Amino acid sequence: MVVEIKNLVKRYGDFLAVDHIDLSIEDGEIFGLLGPNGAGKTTTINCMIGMQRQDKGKIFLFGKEFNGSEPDIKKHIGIVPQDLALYMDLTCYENVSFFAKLYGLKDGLLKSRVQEALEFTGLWDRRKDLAKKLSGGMKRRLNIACAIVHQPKLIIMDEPTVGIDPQSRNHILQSVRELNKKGSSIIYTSHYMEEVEELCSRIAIMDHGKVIAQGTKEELKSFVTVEEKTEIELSSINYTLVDNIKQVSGVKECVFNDSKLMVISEKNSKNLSRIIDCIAATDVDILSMNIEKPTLETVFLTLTGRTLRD
Amino acid sequence: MKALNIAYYTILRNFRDYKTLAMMLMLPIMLILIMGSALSGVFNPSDISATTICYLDEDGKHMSQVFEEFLDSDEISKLIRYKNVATKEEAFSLIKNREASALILLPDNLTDNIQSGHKAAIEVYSSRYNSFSDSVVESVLNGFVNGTNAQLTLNQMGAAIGYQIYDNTQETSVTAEGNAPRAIDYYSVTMLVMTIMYGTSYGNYALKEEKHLNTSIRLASAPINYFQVVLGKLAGSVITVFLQTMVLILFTKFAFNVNWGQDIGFIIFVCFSGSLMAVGLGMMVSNLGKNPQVTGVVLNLGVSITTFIAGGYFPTSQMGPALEKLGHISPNYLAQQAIFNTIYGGSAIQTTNAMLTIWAIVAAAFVVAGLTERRSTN
Repeated sequence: MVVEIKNLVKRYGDFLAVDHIDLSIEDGEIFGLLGPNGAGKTTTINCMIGMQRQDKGKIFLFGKEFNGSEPDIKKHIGIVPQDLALYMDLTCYENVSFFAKLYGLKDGLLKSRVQEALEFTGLWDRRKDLAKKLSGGMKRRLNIACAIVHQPKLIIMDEPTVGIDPQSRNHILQSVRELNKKGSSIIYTSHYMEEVEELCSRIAIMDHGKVIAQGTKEELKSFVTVEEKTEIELSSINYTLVDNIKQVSGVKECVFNDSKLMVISEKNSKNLSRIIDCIAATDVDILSMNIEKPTLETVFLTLTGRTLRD
Repeated sequence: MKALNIAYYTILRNFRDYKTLAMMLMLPIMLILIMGSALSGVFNPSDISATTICYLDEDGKHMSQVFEEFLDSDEISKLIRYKNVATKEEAFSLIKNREASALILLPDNLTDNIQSGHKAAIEVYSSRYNSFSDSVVESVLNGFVNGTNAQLTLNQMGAAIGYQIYDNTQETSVTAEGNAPRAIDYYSVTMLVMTIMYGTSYGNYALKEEKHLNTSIRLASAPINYFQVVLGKLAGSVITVFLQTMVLILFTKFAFNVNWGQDIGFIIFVCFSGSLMAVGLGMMVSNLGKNPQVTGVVLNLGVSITTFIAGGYFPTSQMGPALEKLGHISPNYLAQQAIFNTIYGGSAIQTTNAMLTIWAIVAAAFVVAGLTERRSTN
């Protein structure tokens, strides 16, 4: 176990930012922490890196209890903060080198690691440029380079793709996968559920300081899905066809609007081929078909009654 | 090593901040040039006239004869004009009416005490309304006492008591010739001290800046303890200010031919001490306030005021005793006093006191900064 959090509580005055949460993250996984702004993700992370002291609860990192200052634990953590954490008046090389030295890297190892980090993030050619001269996406990549230069076992990425272009976003997502392949465990927080869904093997959903659900994507989706919707566009529709589809096992409802047919079935009814057989038995052609699958957005909506971006 | 790393990059970044650097270096250079030219008349050495003092001789023996010969010597009579008085009360009355600036009293049995090896002292009573006159009297007396002590030592080796060695002591006394400060010399010192005091802004932002840049999160998550972070930021800020003072000294020395005296080592020490004081005060005020922008404005305003009351823009000795006295509470005054005394051979006691006060402020500032620190990286 890379991370184990037990009953973590953090207050700011009367405001309960983190409310008795439990989390566990396995070695080698990409763990997603999903939730809207203000859900408590960043506070949880700040407690995990020693930036803030929790009011209650325990944090175990790499099997050892972490109280916020243990250097032998900290040296294995890399943080990619939500906001850029760079010195704009230093070059890319100087930025990465400065943070690398804080982890005790020096001489030849320092140079090779800095080069490796800058090459990994595609910034080696821009190493002599001041950080303030870089584009938004490049700054985000430099933000990552500073976090991975010491090759940490655990990388915490707090909303690393906020406000960047699609190309840089793809570059970062690809980097996350590569870092994971190289052996780093990753905690990835985001309020972009598509990213979390794409990257993470396990996910915890946070809201109002609480973990409201956690598990694999499939577990989370099955937890909330109660029915399946299939939308079929047809060349024409008649009542006989609608009645026949309603007779198919598992179908709860079948309605039509213009040329579109909406079929609502029970969860896991696996009746799509029989519905298609009904249509094929008539002279009606299928123009398009859309099977609506539950997303993490649906999960969040079901659990909280709000969308992630509310 | 990690603190050194932080210090190095702090200095590097400070020197890449061209806007602040220009303000820290160009502003004082411009002010030195402008005020040094415009106010040169104020500093004409011919304005320095002999200081009038009262002299009361209760001893009437050999030492009073030696002392009067000393006062009547050509060199000393250019600096001090004395008036014999019969009583202390007469002297105090003259001092009160500003007809004299001090009373020098040779007490009864002075000669006997000196000759018998007992403790002996020449008494000085000063109004303290004119620090220049006070320093002249103090310097002249120091010259006499040092010379007499040396002569007594020689006397024990067989020489006769006299004042023929006074030539040696006069070398360290204030004279109206040779090294009297020109306006540009004066403003080079006061603007140097102003630059040092503007170093408070580096102290103000040293740790708060990390929070502003969000780099505090990286520092907090790195395997480095908070003390090393503070030490690195402090060292980087102090060295930045100190290097700026060295640039100013070198520039004014070669561009304006400013007199920085013979003891440049001590001037450098004053600059370093002042830099430490300024950064310490900046950190303290930064911790006492919440918003570094607000504390920055307060500090800049404060430096303007302390520079003004310490005579940074215009010598306060020319603006009345009240303002002159007020100037003594300014940290600028301490550093200026130490530097002026070092360059122009002024009172060693005043210099020592000024330096001790600076270091006391340094200690106090860091104690308060430490006690009020709310872990600025958080």
